[in-house]
Amino acid sequence: MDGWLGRRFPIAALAWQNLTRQRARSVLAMAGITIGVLAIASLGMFGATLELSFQQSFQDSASSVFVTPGEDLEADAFEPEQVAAVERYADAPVYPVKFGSANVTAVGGTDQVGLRSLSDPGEFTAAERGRIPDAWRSGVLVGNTLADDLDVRVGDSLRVDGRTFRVVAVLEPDGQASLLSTENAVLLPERRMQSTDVGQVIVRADSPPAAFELAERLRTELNDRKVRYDVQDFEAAIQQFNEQIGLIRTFLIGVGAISLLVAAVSILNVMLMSTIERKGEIGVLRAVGYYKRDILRLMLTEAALLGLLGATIGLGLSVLMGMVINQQLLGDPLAFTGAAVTSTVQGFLFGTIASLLSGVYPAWKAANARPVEALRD
Amino acid sequence: MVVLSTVDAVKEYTRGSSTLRALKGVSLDIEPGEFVAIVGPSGSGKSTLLNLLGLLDEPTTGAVRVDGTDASDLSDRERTRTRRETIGFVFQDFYLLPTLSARENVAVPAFLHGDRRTVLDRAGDLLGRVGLADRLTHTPDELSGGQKQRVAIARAMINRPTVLLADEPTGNLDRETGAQVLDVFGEFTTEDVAVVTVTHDEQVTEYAERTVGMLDGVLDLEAGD
Repeated sequence: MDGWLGRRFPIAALAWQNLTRQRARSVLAMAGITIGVLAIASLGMFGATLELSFQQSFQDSASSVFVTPGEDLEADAFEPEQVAAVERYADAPVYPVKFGSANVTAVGGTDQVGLRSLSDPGEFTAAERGRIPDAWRSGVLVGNTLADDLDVRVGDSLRVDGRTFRVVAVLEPDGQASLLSTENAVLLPERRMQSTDVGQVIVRADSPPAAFELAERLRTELNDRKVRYDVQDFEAAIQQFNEQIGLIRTFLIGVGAISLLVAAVSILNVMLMSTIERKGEIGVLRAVGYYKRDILRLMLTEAALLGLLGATIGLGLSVLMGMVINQQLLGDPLAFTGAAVTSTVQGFLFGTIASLLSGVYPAWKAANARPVEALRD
Repeated sequence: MVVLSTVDAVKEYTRGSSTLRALKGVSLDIEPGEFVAIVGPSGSGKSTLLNLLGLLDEPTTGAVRVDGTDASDLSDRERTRTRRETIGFVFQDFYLLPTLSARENVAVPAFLHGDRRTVLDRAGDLLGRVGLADRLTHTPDELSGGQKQRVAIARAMINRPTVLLADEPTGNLDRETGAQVLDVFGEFTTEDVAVVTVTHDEQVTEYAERTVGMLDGVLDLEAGD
């Protein structure tokens, strides 16, 4: 009160003095708000980051369209002219994938495994060890599990149906959303592949919506009454995923909101107790010339200070928590999404406003107590 | 000249269907610089009278006049301002704010509405006048009862009132400290500040210039002097 702050903001200085009187009680009430803000912010942030992390890992798949032989096609692979038909209607890169199988022998033994061949495997998978060559003419890529089973490493040689190849890369394990299953397969350069059976055509669009549109177009253009091409996209899956994540986020924010409500009730309680305990003192302030509005402002400032402090601490902790979540799910502590920032700000505002609102009734009660009655007992 | 007066003031309290007449028509004039003690048994209406004089309560009929102005003509806000500007209060239980120093407690009434730059200096001066120049930064729990009451008197004086109203100001004090407190009041009366106190304490009535007796809601002329 003695300082510049007290002269400039006397109400705030008095309010602060009052809060320090029941230090433990003020800290506990503040902690309630802190937890509430933390709950809203971190749960909202968690939901948003989870969504982003899913979207990132599904981005490639969801932007792609898969065309496989339909039930009315008499073969289980496409002819070159059928692949050409897909290329004609697709305005995006088309990757025909040839399928085959062979006996593969390495140091660790012999196994009957699947063969895959496509022009640009780097689009759909990545090397865990070694490197996928840019202009790929010789050497093979080995799936992760198969490499373990056969005990092969980059640089080893591998026999595929009697022909010898050098292993140029061991591939990463298939992700949740891998388009190409490579775990137990060997990938050959196109001209080394003996099978000409195109079992699958992948069309890579720019974005999920473009892929959904493309799939729709391919379905109508390629098929008449007979379903010779089975065209698949991820539209339904993405939609379902979005609905679920929305539900999860609403639930998480609901949990946060309830904890904030509890915190607000505890502030209400603290302020009411304080009003009752300080009845005489408030009566004195009224008697010595404080207006009703001064008392109202004083009590509201106390509630707001509790909320503001609690919410600020909650905000700080939320940002720290968010950094941990970001690091875990996205690999970058500072990768805050817009939605994460929004929920943090929401948490802060809810916390502060809830405290202010819970101060209204006690403040009104204190301001309107008749000083003569307040002083009687 | 009269600074504060009641004119035929009646105060009734209604509880359910029964009506209690606490004051039955009291007329009292307070003049500048006089020391008035109001005495009487419990329930005689003396505290009610003090509340009316302090503009903390309104008479059912009759009037309370501050410097000639009828207080019932004032709005709630104007009454509050009049209280701040002309009346100082001293209570039996002191009612100091526990986290504030003696000087800050004295400054409280002038803290929101007044010249805040000089208020702490004035508070310090007032504490010097009540003999507490060396206790400026002490908090109430570091002060004795008599010291607390002197802080409370200094607080009552911060807005330069013309009347001090004191409710049992020596009620919680021993005889010696009570005497010190009375001397402080006495000193302010020399500056034309009127002191009106409700008391049971004979020490106060001996000190007072004028004693007003109350009995059963009316002035008791026999008890007075």
